[in-house]
Amino acid sequence: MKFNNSFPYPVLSPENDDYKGSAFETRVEAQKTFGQLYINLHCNLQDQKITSLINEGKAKYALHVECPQTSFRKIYQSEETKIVATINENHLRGKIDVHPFILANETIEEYTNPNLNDFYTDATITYEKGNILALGEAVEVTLHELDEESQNLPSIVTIRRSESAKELVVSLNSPQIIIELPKAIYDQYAINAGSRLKETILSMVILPSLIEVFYILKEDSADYSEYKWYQVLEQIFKKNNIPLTQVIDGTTPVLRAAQMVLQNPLEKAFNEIQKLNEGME
Amino acid sequence: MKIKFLSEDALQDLRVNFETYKEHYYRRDDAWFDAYLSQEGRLLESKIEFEKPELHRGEDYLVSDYENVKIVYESLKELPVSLATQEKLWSGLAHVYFRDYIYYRIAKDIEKKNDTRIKSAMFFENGAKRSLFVHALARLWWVGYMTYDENKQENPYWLIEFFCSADFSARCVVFFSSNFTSNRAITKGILRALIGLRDEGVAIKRAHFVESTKFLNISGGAMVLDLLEEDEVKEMVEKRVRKVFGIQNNIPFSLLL
Repeated sequence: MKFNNSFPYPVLSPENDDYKGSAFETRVEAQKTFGQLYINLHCNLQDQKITSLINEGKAKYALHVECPQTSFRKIYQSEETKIVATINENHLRGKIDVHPFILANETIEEYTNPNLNDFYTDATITYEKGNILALGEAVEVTLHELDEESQNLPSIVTIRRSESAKELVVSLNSPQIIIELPKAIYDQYAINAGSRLKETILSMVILPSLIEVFYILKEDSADYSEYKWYQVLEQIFKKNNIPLTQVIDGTTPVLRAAQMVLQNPLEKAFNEIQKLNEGME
Repeated sequence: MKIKFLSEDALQDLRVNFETYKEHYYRRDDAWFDAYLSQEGRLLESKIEFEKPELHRGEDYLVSDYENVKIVYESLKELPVSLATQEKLWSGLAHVYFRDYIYYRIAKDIEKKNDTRIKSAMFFENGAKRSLFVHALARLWWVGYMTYDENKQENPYWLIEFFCSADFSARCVVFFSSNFTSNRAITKGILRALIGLRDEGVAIKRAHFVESTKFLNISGGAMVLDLLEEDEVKEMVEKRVRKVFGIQNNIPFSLLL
């Protein structure tokens, strides 16, 4: 579920200035134990009016959990500031979107709140059931099928021999990034990939492929976010303190991103070439 | 018998080299498929028990799609959902056990050598979620899973019967590519609204489905739909569809007397 953050009524959120002096802070923790995923939400609400609506049962804290890939979608509600969602891992795969809210549980007419921004003075505000009174920070939880150690580039790239390809082709519609090579070139690759020109081959084959991958992501990243390769790339960038979104929005240039992932591929390749040439002299 | 999957290697080989292998699909070349799949490393055995069911292959897809949703979902009801999202399972089932069904269901596309449909029927070609409702076999299970009504003991498939009554392929994609239809109360609310209108004599077309999901999509921008009860969703959708398509409220016969 994606919200655009603009609503036809005031919403208490750090993203806007609908309220002055009120706050809704949330903390989400996810924990995996014995086939269950526990999502814990802790809320801290500082607003008297909304607190009293919750006490009257007219509004509730809520935790919305959605896993697009498995079509899991559920809302958990409570009058308490702590909510625990327990979900069988079998119902989840890959990316899980978690949204904390305070929601109207029934129609709330003629809503007023002394902390509302002056903009709302004299406005008649009505909340319908399901409308959002407060919005917490959205969190994305990713369930990895593999352990941490295998969250690396080789685990998400496969090079294949193609009977029909005439040149290098990259395809992204599968859990792995598939690099197809024409058969004669693939055979050469297979013979030489482990040789002392390994890094050079990496620069020739993987570097342009990664550039292509990032360009495709810049065009449309949403389509691919469900795939394992995307999630692992996300992790690789996160570990290096650069969010993958910076590549997608252009803050980090594609060419730079590809070289970062391969960690100075040109330098490594030229070192190999130099060694080889030195050996020949 | 335990279900066999395609290995990652076999799956990628079949996909990448489809151009080379496509003749075998056109010619329904079972001998080739059997030989290919019997090579070492092509298949992996899962832990899931399964009896291969006979699928319906009647002349009318409207009938057979409905029957087959029931058959496939019943025979694989215990499938963990996370596994049911995986291409190697569905592509494996399609290649290993259900080639005859695929030949039947996309017969015209095979005849016309429509590679795009052959590929999307056998592999996941349309993104992780959409493919579940496009793949010829996966969509049968997924439509079953998404609409099975355990509260209706006498016929838990009553919603599917309606869903499959026309335009199955398009309905699958239009209806289930919305995220909110992941919520059963919403899915059931929409389908019950449309079934109610059908029972009044309205011919439910694709436009009615599109309008229902479009309307909820817009509403979902300002409210969390998941808070609504099934009946509330039904009411909202019914009201909207009546308004947009100019359908009068039914006047009970007793009031006319």
